[in-house]
Amino acid sequence: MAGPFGLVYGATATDSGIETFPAILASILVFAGASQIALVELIDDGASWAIAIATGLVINLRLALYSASLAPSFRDFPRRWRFPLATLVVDQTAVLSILEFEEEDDPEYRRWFFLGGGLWMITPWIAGSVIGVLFAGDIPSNWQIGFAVPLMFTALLIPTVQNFPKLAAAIVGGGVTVSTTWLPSGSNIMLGVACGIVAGTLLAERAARSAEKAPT
Amino acid sequence: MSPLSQILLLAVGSYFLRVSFIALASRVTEISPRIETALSMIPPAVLAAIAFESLLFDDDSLRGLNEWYIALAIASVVAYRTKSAAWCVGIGMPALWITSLLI
Repeated sequence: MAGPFGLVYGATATDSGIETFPAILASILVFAGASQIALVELIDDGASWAIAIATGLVINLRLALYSASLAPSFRDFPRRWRFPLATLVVDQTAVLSILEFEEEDDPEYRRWFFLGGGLWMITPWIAGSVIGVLFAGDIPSNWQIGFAVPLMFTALLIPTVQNFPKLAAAIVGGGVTVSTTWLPSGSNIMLGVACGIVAGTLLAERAARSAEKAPT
Repeated sequence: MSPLSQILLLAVGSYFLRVSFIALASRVTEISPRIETALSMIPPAVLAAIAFESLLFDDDSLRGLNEWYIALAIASVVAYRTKSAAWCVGIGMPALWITSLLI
């Protein structure tokens, strides 16, 4: 799925007037689609460099949250694995690994799983970006490749919603984000995520307390 | 500042975000249950935020009711039944194309 998403980014970058080399380099070095799309659109809009980069980083703040989720597993990896593997932390690798690591606790298996997942993601991502950059004008509009964005995030979202508190985290997170789009670009996502995390955590703690009280 | 320099700065900043807690982890030995619960809420909250926004908004304006909602509903049912992201995506794009032809 990273392929079509890369295609969307590549086509957007070329449409925004970014040259071929920097547009493709971004997919290799930044490797975070939503922030790359925001950056090239802001450059095209003539936004100042400080605002463009800050917006990209706000969108990517979630990578720090993933870093926190993965840190307990990565602690068991050798340093020469830990730091290079961090370059591959994105939504897909983080979410799928967090789910997999609940079942598998062997550090060696875990680091190979993460490396494999990362390469599985970054290869089609770069290939899709290159095709999108080079053939931006030739992609038929009735393919509606923009649909790849909500589709990919929904595909990742649904397997993570395993109980009521997590469902609440998703609904509050998404609901607050779409109802605060008047906030500066990107910050509505961070506000929505923060509210979602608080709502989900409070409900999970409440569920745990009532489970303790319930007669066995 | 050139687009290339902006891309490089975003890349460096993003790496710092990715490595932040992983680099600190060797010094942290205990994680409280509350933090652990909060961390488990991150994926659903973040993914829903981006999915909802990209579905409902086309650039800055609200997307009208169209075939995207139908195709995404079909893909969501597939994801729920199969528990598989790959199936959801594999069905989702063709579902959109077929729905577009029918509407």
